[in-house]
Amino acid sequence: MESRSYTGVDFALLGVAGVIAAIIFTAAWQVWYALSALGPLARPFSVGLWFTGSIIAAALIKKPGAAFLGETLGALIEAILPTPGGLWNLVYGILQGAFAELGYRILGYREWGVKAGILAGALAGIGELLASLIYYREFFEAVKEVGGEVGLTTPVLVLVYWLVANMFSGALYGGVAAAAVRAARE
Amino acid sequence: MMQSGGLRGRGGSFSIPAVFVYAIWITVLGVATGDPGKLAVTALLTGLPGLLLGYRRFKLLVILIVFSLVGTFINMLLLYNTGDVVASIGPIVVREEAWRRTLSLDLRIVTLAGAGLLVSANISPRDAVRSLESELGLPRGLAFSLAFALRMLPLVYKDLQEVLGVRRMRGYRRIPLTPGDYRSLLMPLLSISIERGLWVGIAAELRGLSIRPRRRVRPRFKPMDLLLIALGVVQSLVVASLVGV
Repeated sequence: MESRSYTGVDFALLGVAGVIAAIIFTAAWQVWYALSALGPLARPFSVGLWFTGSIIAAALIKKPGAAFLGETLGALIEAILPTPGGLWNLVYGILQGAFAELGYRILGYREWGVKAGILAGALAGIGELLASLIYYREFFEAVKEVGGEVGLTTPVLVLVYWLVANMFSGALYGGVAAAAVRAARE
Repeated sequence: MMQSGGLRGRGGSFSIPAVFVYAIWITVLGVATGDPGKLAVTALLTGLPGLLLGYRRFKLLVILIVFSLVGTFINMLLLYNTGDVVASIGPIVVREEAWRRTLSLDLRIVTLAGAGLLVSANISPRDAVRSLESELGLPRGLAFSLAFALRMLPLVYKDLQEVLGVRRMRGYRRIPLTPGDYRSLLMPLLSISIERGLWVGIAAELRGLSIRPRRRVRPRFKPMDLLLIALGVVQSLVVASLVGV
Protein backbone atom coordinates (compact mmCIF):
# COMPACT_ATOMS: atom_id res chain seq x y z
CA MET A 1 0.00 0.00 0.00
CA GLU A 2 1.30 3.45 -0.94
CA SER A 3 2.40 5.61 2.01
CA ARG A 4 0.04 8.44 2.91
CA SER A 5 2.62 10.43 4.87
CA TYR A 6 4.16 13.46 3.17
CA THR A 7 7.71 13.41 1.80
CA GLY A 8 9.97 16.28 0.77
CA VAL A 9 8.77 15.83 -2.82
CA ASP A 10 5.14 16.18 -1.70
CA PHE A 11 5.89 19.38 0.19
CA ALA A 12 7.76 20.76 -2.85
CA LEU A 13 4.78 19.90 -5.07
CA LEU A 14 2.56 21.62 -2.53
CA GLY A 15 4.74 24.70 -2.99
CA VAL A 16 4.31 24.33 -6.78
CA ALA A 17 0.53 24.24 -6.36
CA GLY A 18 0.68 27.31 -4.11
CA VAL A 19 2.84 29.33 -6.47
CA ILE A 20 0.86 28.38 -9.59
CA ALA A 21 -2.37 29.27 -7.80
CA ALA A 22 -0.88 32.61 -6.73
CA ILE A 23 0.24 33.30 -10.32
CA ILE A 24 -3.18 32.41 -11.68
CA PHE A 25 -4.78 34.76 -9.16
CA THR A 26 -2.40 37.50 -10.31
CA ALA A 27 -3.27 36.88 -13.95
CA ALA A 28 -6.97 36.85 -13.06
CA TRP A 29 -6.88 39.95 -10.91
CA GLN A 30 -7.48 42.27 -13.83
CA VAL A 31 -10.74 40.48 -14.59
CA TRP A 32 -11.60 40.06 -10.92
CA TYR A 33 -11.07 43.71 -10.02
CA ALA A 34 -13.10 44.78 -13.03
CA LEU A 35 -15.91 42.61 -11.62
CA SER A 36 -15.27 43.86 -8.07
CA ALA A 37 -15.80 47.42 -9.26
CA LEU A 38 -19.33 46.27 -10.10
CA GLY A 39 -19.63 45.12 -6.49
CA PRO A 40 -19.29 41.88 -4.50
CA LEU A 41 -22.29 40.34 -6.28
CA ALA A 42 -20.32 40.19 -9.54
CA ARG A 43 -17.50 38.35 -7.79
CA PRO A 44 -18.84 34.77 -7.56
CA PHE A 45 -18.51 34.22 -11.32
CA SER A 46 -14.73 34.39 -11.16
CA VAL A 47 -14.34 32.94 -7.68
CA GLY A 48 -13.72 29.40 -8.96
CA LEU A 49 -10.21 30.50 -9.89
CA TRP A 50 -9.52 30.85 -6.17
CA PHE A 51 -10.27 27.15 -5.60
CA THR A 52 -7.64 25.95 -8.08
CA GLY A 53 -4.93 25.75 -5.40
CA SER A 54 -6.73 22.80 -3.80
CA ILE A 55 -7.45 21.03 -7.09
CA ILE A 56 -3.88 21.40 -8.42
CA ALA A 57 -2.38 20.22 -5.10
CA ALA A 58 -4.68 17.18 -4.92
CA ALA A 59 -4.07 16.22 -8.56
CA LEU A 60 -0.30 16.54 -8.09
CA ILE A 61 0.19 14.89 -4.69
CA LYS A 62 -2.75 12.43 -4.68
CA LYS A 63 -2.76 12.03 -0.91
CA PRO A 64 -5.35 12.85 1.76
CA GLY A 65 -5.05 16.41 3.01
CA ALA A 66 -3.45 17.73 -0.19
CA ALA A 67 -6.52 19.74 -1.27
CA PHE A 68 -6.83 21.35 2.16
CA LEU A 69 -3.12 22.14 2.44
CA GLY A 70 -2.88 23.43 -1.16
CA GLU A 71 -5.74 25.86 -0.69
CA THR A 72 -4.55 26.99 2.76
CA LEU A 73 -1.03 27.56 1.45
CA GLY A 74 -2.34 29.60 -1.48
CA ALA A 75 -4.37 31.69 0.97
CA LEU A 76 -1.31 32.17 3.18
CA ILE A 77 0.69 33.44 0.19
CA GLU A 78 -2.20 35.76 -0.64
CA ALA A 79 -2.24 37.03 2.93
CA ILE A 80 1.50 37.76 2.89
CA LEU A 81 1.40 39.36 -0.54
CA PRO A 82 -1.28 41.99 -0.03
CA THR A 83 -4.82 41.54 -1.29
CA PRO A 84 -8.00 43.42 -0.32
CA GLY A 85 -9.19 40.56 1.88
CA GLY A 86 -6.12 40.86 4.13
CA LEU A 87 -5.73 38.06 6.66
CA TRP A 88 -9.39 37.05 6.23
CA ASN A 89 -8.11 35.26 3.11
CA LEU A 90 -6.85 32.59 5.48
CA VAL A 91 -10.40 31.88 6.63
CA TYR A 92 -11.48 31.63 2.99
CA GLY A 93 -8.57 29.30 2.26
CA ILE A 94 -9.24 27.03 5.23
CA LEU A 95 -12.99 26.73 4.54
CA GLN A 96 -12.60 26.31 0.77
CA GLY A 97 -9.82 23.79 1.31
CA ALA A 98 -11.88 21.82 3.84
CA PHE A 99 -14.85 21.55 1.48
CA ALA A 100 -12.65 20.67 -1.52
CA GLU A 101 -11.05 17.99 0.65
CA LEU A 102 -14.53 16.69 1.41
CA GLY A 103 -15.03 16.12 -2.32
CA TYR A 104 -12.00 13.84 -2.50
CA ARG A 105 -13.05 12.17 0.77
CA ILE A 106 -16.49 11.37 -0.71
CA LEU A 107 -14.70 9.63 -3.59
CA GLY A 108 -12.66 7.62 -1.06
CA TYR A 109 -9.37 9.27 -2.10
CA ARG A 110 -9.29 7.00 -5.16
CA GLU A 111 -10.19 9.52 -7.89
CA TRP A 112 -7.94 12.55 -8.56
CA GLY A 113 -8.94 13.42 -12.14
CA VAL A 114 -11.34 15.81 -13.84
CA LYS A 115 -14.51 14.38 -12.24
CA ALA A 116 -13.03 14.71 -8.77
CA GLY A 117 -11.82 18.22 -9.64
CA ILE A 118 -15.34 19.23 -10.67
CA LEU A 119 -16.86 17.82 -7.48
CA ALA A 120 -14.19 19.31 -5.20
CA GLY A 121 -14.41 22.69 -6.96
CA ALA A 122 -18.20 22.79 -6.63
CA LEU A 123 -18.03 21.88 -2.92
CA ALA A 124 -15.33 24.51 -2.31
CA GLY A 125 -18.00 27.01 -3.36
CA ILE A 126 -19.89 26.16 -0.16
CA GLY A 127 -16.80 27.01 1.88
CA GLU A 128 -16.51 30.34 0.08
CA LEU A 129 -20.15 31.09 0.82
CA LEU A 130 -19.68 30.37 4.54
CA ALA A 131 -16.76 32.80 4.75
CA SER A 132 -18.71 35.37 2.72
CA LEU A 133 -21.75 34.97 4.98
CA ILE A 134 -19.62 36.49 7.72
CA TYR A 135 -17.60 39.01 5.72
CA TYR A 136 -20.38 40.21 3.43
CA ARG A 137 -23.21 39.60 5.89
CA GLU A 138 -24.87 42.92 5.00
CA PHE A 139 -25.96 41.20 1.78
CA PHE A 140 -27.66 38.37 3.64
CA GLU A 141 -29.26 40.15 6.60
CA ALA A 142 -33.04 40.28 6.70
CA VAL A 143 -34.54 43.43 5.21
CA LYS A 144 -36.01 45.52 8.03
CA GLU A 145 -38.26 47.67 5.87
CA VAL A 146 -39.58 45.48 3.12
CA GLY A 147 -42.52 47.65 2.08
CA GLY A 148 -43.55 45.33 -0.75
CA GLU A 149 -40.97 46.71 -3.18
CA VAL A 150 -38.17 44.26 -2.52
CA GLY A 151 -39.04 41.71 -5.21
CA LEU A 152 -35.94 39.85 -6.40
CA THR A 153 -33.69 41.46 -3.85
CA THR A 154 -34.58 39.30 -0.84
CA PRO A 155 -31.58 37.95 1.09
CA VAL A 156 -32.65 34.36 0.41
CA LEU A 157 -32.40 34.92 -3.33
CA VAL A 158 -29.03 36.61 -2.90
CA LEU A 159 -27.92 33.55 -0.93
CA VAL A 160 -29.14 31.13 -3.61
CA TYR A 161 -27.59 33.24 -6.39
CA TRP A 162 -24.25 33.39 -4.55
CA LEU A 163 -24.20 29.64 -3.86
CA VAL A 164 -25.16 28.60 -7.42
CA ALA A 165 -22.67 31.02 -9.00
CA ASN A 166 -19.93 29.82 -6.62
CA MET A 167 -20.54 26.14 -7.26
CA PHE A 168 -20.83 26.60 -11.02
CA SER A 169 -17.63 28.64 -11.15
CA GLY A 170 -15.85 26.20 -8.83
CA ALA A 171 -16.88 23.14 -10.86
CA LEU A 172 -15.83 24.82 -14.11
CA TYR A 173 -12.38 25.93 -13.00
CA GLY A 174 -11.88 22.81 -10.86
CA GLY A 175 -12.34 20.66 -13.96
CA VAL A 176 -10.04 22.91 -15.97
CA ALA A 177 -7.30 22.79 -13.32
CA ALA A 178 -7.48 19.00 -12.97
CA ALA A 179 -7.37 18.57 -16.77
CA ALA A 180 -4.37 20.89 -17.02
CA VAL A 181 -2.45 18.92 -14.37
CA ARG A 182 -3.22 15.63 -16.15
CA ALA A 183 -2.09 17.07 -19.51
CA ALA A 184 1.08 18.54 -17.97
CA ARG A 185 2.06 15.17 -16.48
CA GLU A 186 1.51 13.20 -19.68
CA MET B 1 15.05 23.45 20.28
CA MET B 2 14.35 26.81 21.88
CA GLN B 3 16.79 29.70 21.65
CA SER B 4 16.58 33.16 23.10
CA GLY B 5 16.89 36.20 20.87
CA GLY B 6 15.02 37.34 17.82
CA LEU B 7 15.32 36.83 14.11
CA ARG B 8 18.07 38.47 12.12
CA GLY B 9 17.36 40.65 9.15
CA ARG B 10 14.00 41.96 10.24
CA GLY B 11 13.26 45.59 9.60
CA GLY B 12 10.64 48.10 10.64
CA SER B 13 9.67 49.59 13.97
CA PHE B 14 7.49 46.69 15.07
CA SER B 15 8.40 43.06 15.75
CA ILE B 16 7.02 40.54 13.24
CA PRO B 17 4.94 38.46 15.73
CA ALA B 18 3.41 41.65 17.17
CA VAL B 19 2.33 42.87 13.70
CA PHE B 20 0.91 39.44 12.82
CA VAL B 21 -1.03 39.09 16.07
CA TYR B 22 -2.29 42.68 15.85
CA ALA B 23 -3.47 42.23 12.25
CA ILE B 24 -5.20 38.94 13.09
CA TRP B 25 -6.86 40.47 16.15
CA ILE B 26 -8.13 43.53 14.23
CA THR B 27 -9.40 41.21 11.47
CA VAL B 28 -11.36 39.28 14.11
CA LEU B 29 -12.76 42.54 15.54
CA GLY B 30 -13.66 43.76 12.05
CA VAL B 31 -15.77 40.71 11.27
CA ALA B 32 -17.16 40.42 14.81
CA THR B 33 -19.11 43.67 14.61
CA GLY B 34 -21.49 45.07 12.01
CA ASP B 35 -22.08 48.34 13.80
CA PRO B 36 -20.95 51.27 11.61
CA GLY B 37 -19.93 53.37 14.64
CA LYS B 38 -17.60 50.68 15.99
CA LEU B 39 -16.27 49.83 12.54
CA ALA B 40 -15.53 53.53 11.99
CA VAL B 41 -13.12 53.37 14.94
CA THR B 42 -11.30 50.26 13.64
CA ALA B 43 -11.21 51.76 10.13
CA LEU B 44 -9.78 55.01 11.48
CA LEU B 45 -7.19 53.48 13.83
CA THR B 46 -6.08 50.54 11.66
CA GLY B 47 -7.66 50.67 8.20
CA LEU B 48 -6.61 54.15 7.13
CA PRO B 49 -3.04 53.97 8.51
CA GLY B 50 -2.67 50.57 6.81
CA LEU B 51 -3.92 51.88 3.48
CA LEU B 52 -1.65 54.96 3.73
CA LEU B 53 1.40 52.84 4.61
CA GLY B 54 0.56 50.32 1.90
CA TYR B 55 0.00 53.02 -0.73
CA ARG B 56 3.75 53.60 -1.07
CA ARG B 57 4.43 50.01 -2.15
CA PHE B 58 1.05 48.82 -3.42
CA LYS B 59 -0.45 51.89 -5.08
CA LEU B 60 -2.56 50.01 -7.64
CA LEU B 61 -3.99 47.69 -4.99
CA VAL B 62 -5.12 50.59 -2.79
CA ILE B 63 -6.74 52.32 -5.79
CA LEU B 64 -8.57 49.09 -6.64
CA ILE B 65 -9.78 48.74 -3.05
CA VAL B 66 -11.33 52.21 -3.39
CA PHE B 67 -13.05 51.03 -6.61
CA SER B 68 -14.49 48.02 -4.80
CA LEU B 69 -15.93 50.36 -2.12
CA VAL B 70 -17.83 52.16 -4.87
CA GLY B 71 -18.92 48.78 -6.26
CA THR B 72 -20.40 47.84 -2.87
CA PHE B 73 -22.41 51.07 -2.88
CA ILE B 74 -23.77 50.29 -6.38
CA ASN B 75 -24.80 46.77 -5.29
CA MET B 76 -26.56 48.05 -2.18
CA LEU B 77 -28.40 50.70 -4.20
CA LEU B 78 -29.65 47.99 -6.55
CA LEU B 79 -30.66 45.55 -3.82
CA TYR B 80 -31.56 47.36 -0.60
CA ASN B 81 -32.55 50.94 -1.46
CA THR B 82 -35.50 51.07 0.96
CA GLY B 83 -36.52 53.21 3.92
CA ASP B 84 -36.27 56.94 4.46
CA VAL B 85 -34.35 59.12 2.00
CA VAL B 86 -30.84 59.89 3.29
CA ALA B 87 -29.44 61.83 0.34
CA SER B 88 -30.12 62.67 -3.31
CA ILE B 89 -27.22 62.81 -5.78
CA GLY B 90 -28.74 64.04 -9.04
CA PRO B 91 -31.19 61.36 -10.18
CA ILE B 92 -29.90 58.87 -7.57
CA VAL B 93 -31.89 58.70 -4.33
CA VAL B 94 -30.02 57.00 -1.49
CA ARG B 95 -32.24 55.44 1.17
CA GLU B 96 -31.53 54.41 4.74
CA GLU B 97 -31.09 50.66 4.27
CA ALA B 98 -28.65 50.98 1.34
CA TRP B 99 -26.66 53.64 3.18
CA ARG B 100 -26.39 51.66 6.45
CA ARG B 101 -25.35 48.45 4.71
CA THR B 102 -22.82 50.21 2.46
CA LEU B 103 -21.29 51.99 5.44
CA SER B 104 -20.92 48.78 7.48
CA LEU B 105 -19.44 46.73 4.66
CA ASP B 106 -17.12 49.44 3.32
CA LEU B 107 -15.76 50.21 6.79
CA ARG B 108 -15.12 46.47 7.28
CA ILE B 109 -13.34 46.26 3.92
CA VAL B 110 -11.14 49.25 4.87
CA THR B 111 -10.40 47.73 8.31
CA LEU B 112 -9.42 44.30 7.00
CA ALA B 113 -7.51 45.56 3.97
CA GLY B 114 -5.66 48.05 6.17
CA ALA B 115 -4.76 45.35 8.70
CA GLY B 116 -3.43 43.13 5.89
CA LEU B 117 -1.46 45.99 4.36
CA LEU B 118 0.12 46.74 7.76
CA VAL B 119 1.63 43.24 7.62
CA SER B 120 2.74 43.49 3.98
CA ALA B 121 4.17 47.00 4.35
CA ASN B 122 6.20 46.16 7.47
CA ILE B 123 7.39 42.61 6.80
CA SER B 124 9.18 41.07 3.81
CA PRO B 125 7.82 37.67 2.68
CA ARG B 126 11.11 35.97 3.61
CA ASP B 127 11.04 37.35 7.17
CA ALA B 128 7.38 36.39 7.40
CA VAL B 129 8.16 32.76 6.57
CA ARG B 130 11.01 32.62 9.08
CA SER B 131 8.88 34.16 11.79
CA LEU B 132 5.92 31.90 11.02
CA GLU B 133 8.09 28.80 11.40
CA SER B 134 10.45 29.80 14.19
CA GLU B 135 8.34 32.09 16.36
CA LEU B 136 4.72 31.26 15.59
CA GLY B 137 5.06 27.48 15.17
CA LEU B 138 4.02 26.83 11.55
CA PRO B 139 4.64 23.09 10.81
CA ARG B 140 8.04 22.50 9.20
CA GLY B 141 6.70 20.90 6.02
CA LEU B 142 4.31 23.77 5.38
CA ALA B 143 7.03 26.32 6.10
CA PHE B 144 9.21 24.53 3.51
CA SER B 145 6.37 24.61 0.96
CA LEU B 146 5.71 28.29 1.65
CA ALA B 147 9.40 29.23 1.41
CA PHE B 148 9.73 27.22 -1.83
CA ALA B 149 6.61 28.84 -3.27
CA LEU B 150 7.85 32.35 -2.47
CA ARG B 151 11.27 31.49 -3.92
CA MET B 152 9.59 30.17 -7.09
CA LEU B 153 7.27 33.15 -7.46
CA PRO B 154 9.61 35.38 -9.54
CA LEU B 155 10.66 32.38 -11.67
CA VAL B 156 7.11 31.31 -12.45
CA TYR B 157 6.11 34.92 -13.01
CA LYS B 158 8.88 35.17 -15.63
CA ASP B 159 7.60 31.94 -17.23
CA LEU B 160 4.11 33.42 -17.25
CA GLN B 161 5.30 36.55 -19.06
CA GLU B 162 6.96 34.36 -21.70
CA VAL B 163 3.83 32.27 -22.18
CA LEU B 164 1.71 35.42 -22.44
CA GLY B 165 4.20 36.86 -24.95
CA VAL B 166 3.98 33.71 -27.08
CA ARG B 167 0.17 33.86 -26.88
CA ARG B 168 0.23 37.45 -28.12
CA MET B 169 2.59 36.57 -31.00
CA ARG B 170 0.23 33.79 -32.05
CA GLY B 171 -2.69 36.19 -32.06
CA TYR B 172 -4.42 34.89 -28.92
CA ARG B 173 -5.77 37.02 -26.09
CA ARG B 174 -2.98 38.16 -23.78
CA ILE B 175 -5.21 38.29 -20.73
CA PRO B 176 -6.90 34.91 -20.13
CA LEU B 177 -10.67 35.24 -19.96
CA THR B 178 -12.20 31.86 -20.78
CA PRO B 179 -11.61 28.48 -19.08
CA GLY B 180 -9.86 27.36 -22.30
CA ASP B 181 -7.46 30.29 -22.00
CA TYR B 182 -6.65 29.25 -18.45
CA ARG B 183 -6.04 25.65 -19.43
CA SER B 184 -3.59 26.66 -22.18
CA LEU B 185 -1.87 29.00 -19.75
CA LEU B 186 -1.70 26.49 -16.89
CA MET B 187 -0.24 23.58 -18.86
CA PRO B 188 3.20 25.02 -19.73
CA LEU B 189 3.55 26.62 -16.29
CA LEU B 190 2.71 23.32 -14.61
CA SER B 191 5.00 21.15 -16.71
CA ILE B 192 8.01 23.37 -15.97
CA SER B 193 7.17 23.81 -12.29
CA ILE B 194 6.43 20.12 -11.62
CA GLU B 195 9.89 19.23 -12.91
CA ARG B 196 11.49 21.88 -10.68
CA GLY B 197 9.38 20.79 -7.70
CA LEU B 198 10.32 17.12 -8.08
CA TRP B 199 14.05 17.80 -8.11
CA VAL B 200 13.91 20.35 -5.30
CA GLY B 201 11.91 17.85 -3.23
CA ILE B 202 14.41 15.05 -3.88
CA ALA B 203 17.32 17.39 -3.06
CA ALA B 204 15.61 18.55 0.16
CA GLU B 205 14.96 14.94 1.20
CA LEU B 206 18.58 13.98 0.51
CA ARG B 207 19.72 16.92 2.63
CA GLY B 208 17.64 15.62 5.54
CA LEU B 209 14.45 17.72 5.46
CA SER B 210 12.50 15.10 7.42
CA ILE B 211 15.10 14.72 10.18
CA ARG B 212 16.12 18.37 10.48
CA PRO B 213 15.65 19.50 14.11
CA ARG B 214 13.12 22.24 14.59
CA ARG B 215 14.67 25.58 15.51
CA ARG B 216 12.39 27.55 17.81
CA VAL B 217 13.15 31.16 18.60
CA ARG B 218 11.53 33.03 21.46
CA PRO B 219 9.69 36.09 20.08
CA ARG B 220 11.50 39.34 20.88
CA PHE B 221 9.36 42.41 21.02
CA LYS B 222 10.26 46.04 20.30
CA PRO B 223 9.27 49.17 22.28
CA MET B 224 6.97 50.34 19.47
CA ASP B 225 4.91 47.17 19.94
CA LEU B 226 3.39 48.92 22.95
CA LEU B 227 1.65 51.26 20.50
CA LEU B 228 0.07 48.25 18.77
CA ILE B 229 -1.00 46.84 22.13
CA ALA B 230 -2.57 50.17 23.11
CA LEU B 231 -4.36 50.48 19.76
CA GLY B 232 -5.57 46.88 20.03
CA VAL B 233 -6.94 47.44 23.55
CA VAL B 234 -8.77 50.65 22.54
CA GLN B 235 -10.40 48.97 19.54
CA SER B 236 -11.30 45.87 21.58
CA LEU B 237 -13.00 48.03 24.21
CA VAL B 238 -14.93 49.93 21.55
CA VAL B 239 -16.09 46.77 19.79
CA ALA B 240 -17.00 45.19 23.14
CA SER B 241 -19.03 48.37 23.84
CA LEU B 242 -17.25 49.17 27.09
CA VAL B 243 -16.70 52.67 25.72
CA GLY B 244 -19.65 54.71 24.52
CA VAL B 245 -18.94 55.05 20.78
